[in-house]
Amino acid sequence: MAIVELKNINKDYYLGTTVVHALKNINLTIEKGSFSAIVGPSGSGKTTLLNIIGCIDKSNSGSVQIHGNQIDSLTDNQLTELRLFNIGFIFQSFHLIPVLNVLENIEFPLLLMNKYSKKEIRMKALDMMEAVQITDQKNHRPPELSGGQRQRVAIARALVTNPEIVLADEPTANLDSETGSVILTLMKNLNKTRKTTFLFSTHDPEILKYADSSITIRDGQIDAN
Amino acid sequence: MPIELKIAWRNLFRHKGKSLVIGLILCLGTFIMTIGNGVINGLNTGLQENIVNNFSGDLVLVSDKQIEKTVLASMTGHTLKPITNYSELKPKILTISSIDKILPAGAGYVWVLNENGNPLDQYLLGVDIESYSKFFNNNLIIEKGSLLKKDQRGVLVSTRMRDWYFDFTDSWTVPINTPFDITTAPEKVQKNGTSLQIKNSIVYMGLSSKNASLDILTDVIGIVKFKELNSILGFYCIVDMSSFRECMGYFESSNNTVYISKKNKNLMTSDLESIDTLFNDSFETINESTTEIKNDLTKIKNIAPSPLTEELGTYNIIFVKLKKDLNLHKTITKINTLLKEKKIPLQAISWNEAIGMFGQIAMLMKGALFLFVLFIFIVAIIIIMNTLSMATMERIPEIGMMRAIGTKKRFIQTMFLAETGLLSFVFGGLGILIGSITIIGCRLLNLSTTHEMLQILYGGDTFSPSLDLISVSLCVLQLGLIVCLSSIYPIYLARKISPLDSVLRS
Ligand SMILES: Nc1ncnc2c1ncn2[C@@H]1O[C@H](COP(=O)(O)OP(=O)(O)OP(=O)(O)O)[C@@H](O)[C@H]1O
Ligand SMILES: [Mg+2]
Repeated sequence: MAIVELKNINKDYYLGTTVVHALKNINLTIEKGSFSAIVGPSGSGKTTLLNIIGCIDKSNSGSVQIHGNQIDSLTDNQLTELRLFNIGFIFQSFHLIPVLNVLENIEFPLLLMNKYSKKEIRMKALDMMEAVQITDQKNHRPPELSGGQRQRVAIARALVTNPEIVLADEPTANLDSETGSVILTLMKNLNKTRKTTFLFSTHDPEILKYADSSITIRDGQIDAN
Repeated sequence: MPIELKIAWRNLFRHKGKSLVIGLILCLGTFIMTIGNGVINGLNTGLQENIVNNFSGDLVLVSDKQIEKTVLASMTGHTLKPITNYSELKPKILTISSIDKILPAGAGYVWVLNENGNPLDQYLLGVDIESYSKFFNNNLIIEKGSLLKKDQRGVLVSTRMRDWYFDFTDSWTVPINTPFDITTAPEKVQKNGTSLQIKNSIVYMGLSSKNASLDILTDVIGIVKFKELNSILGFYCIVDMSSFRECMGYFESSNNTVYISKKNKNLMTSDLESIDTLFNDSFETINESTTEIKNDLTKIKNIAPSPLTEELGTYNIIFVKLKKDLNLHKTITKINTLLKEKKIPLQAISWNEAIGMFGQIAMLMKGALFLFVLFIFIVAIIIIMNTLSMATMERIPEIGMMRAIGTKKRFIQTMFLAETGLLSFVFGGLGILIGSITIIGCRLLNLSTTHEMLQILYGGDTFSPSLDLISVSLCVLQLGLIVCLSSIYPIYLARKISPLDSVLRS
């Protein structure tokens, strides 16, 4: 089953008089449960593509379907809910809420969902903490954590809502290669055990090894192989 | 605690510096605004109390033909239309249930003639001093001499006017039959030494009817001071009613006789007639019909003035004290309708309208204070808005991330409002508290002044700013407005932050 379906996506950036065609006629389907990587040289359009899939940016033309929802016609609030319920984000620079501790950060999206009781929220968060092995740091705030630990928290936060797909734009770029491998292993395990769909970008061949399939993008176009 | 509040609360501590800056501005701003409100409030209640109790009553009744309403402080010299049948009106007026007591009087604008030819202008109040003192709870403090006795003619000169006469004529006013001891006189008087003239009578010229202004020479019986606001109310000297009527031409108006008391003092050396002709031209502009008065005149002439029959004479103003706890403006409207219904040819004017100029000065002061408060208000808003906007810009990636992972704009807005709300609650509350304590402190200090402008600002002789429930609520309201107005732009900025900002900046 396709979680993401992109059809004829074009994205242009206008820099003064010059137009940058960041994405050209992209057609792409992401299957449920997959663990895929987007690869390509710098400036090829990886981030742009992930942003469009993550519903935080809009294409100039073409259609985007996330979990069966046509996103073009959605309002800002509807898009926000779509992201909250269906998409998990892992950022290159971790992006945790600095004033909340580990547990609170992981609970945060569950609170926004307004769907679970306090008890359920606490249970889910503790469970997720366990899964990313950050339980010992439960009460620490992000500035007190290492990069690898922060990314674990970020992963837990992305997965705690049980989203259809988790998007990660270069999740290991700010980590040393060893920690990067650990993080990828962790993601891969979660993909297996929880059947969460992952789509991440990288230009590190070491990281690419973990992916089941890869999408190569060059100059805003997907390479045929 | 809702998560928005939790984040907002912790953010305040995370950005301690900024919180403190905004907090202190809020604190200072509300402090100044509280003081400002307190002073305005004190001015209002003080002025009202002191003027109503000492000088004007709650309202005055004047002839319904009177057009100008500033009847107690007219600068133009138009005198009040006479009330010729007070004795008939009195019982009718007293049937109005909201009225507690009344006092008939004469108020007018007069010139003080002196030998160097330049007349000084001032106000004269004609009353039966006994009833007057009773009506206004002994509002006069005797400095020298005494109050007028029953049927005695003469003037009670206010200390303010005594000083004024001295400044312009170099003569020092002393009550008749009172020994003058120069060592007790103010320094400026003592300096004058041998050239000092002692004066114990004054020539007033009423600016009243055409060709009917009479000069009266009155003995100074006492030097008096108003209990409160003397530097303002002291523009008035007080004479007996008969002298007032003569001065205003309410008697023998066709006949330019000059009343001079038997003991004509030698200081009036110049020929009064010639002074008259000197000013005659300028009097012609003052046009007053006196036909109604003439009828009255014959009555009066046959009856010797006694407190009872005194009321048969002509007055031009009636001071009114209302029964307690009535809304002034509603009552005035009611009284005016009743006056019309009962066909009483009078109109009611509120005390603050009647005192005109003084009230206007107070209004100006209030306006200035208000502008000052407004200025502080705006400055506070601008500084806070600026600081908050900068803080918002710094948090763009963080807020962008929150938006990306599913936070709605409303959440962001609540979070920002909560931050400023919490700050203002703590620091603004502190400002109001310190302000209130300062106000209480000021009252305890009992600062008093004789300065005219300060007396108006104080609303009396002592500085007594005050806060009631309304003005405290006003402070809280102003604080709330500051918070809202200064948050609008930063919140607008924060709402505009898009989820994309989370990645663009990272
Ligand atoms: N906000 C923007 N304004 C203008 N041009 C942009 C903007 N964002 C991206 N681009 C351009 O679009 C193209 C694709 O950029 P994108 O960031 O998607 O590449 P990328 O593959 O993620 O690169 P990198 O590996 O360096 O992160 C680039 O040519 C880039 O210059
Ligand atoms: Mg990129």
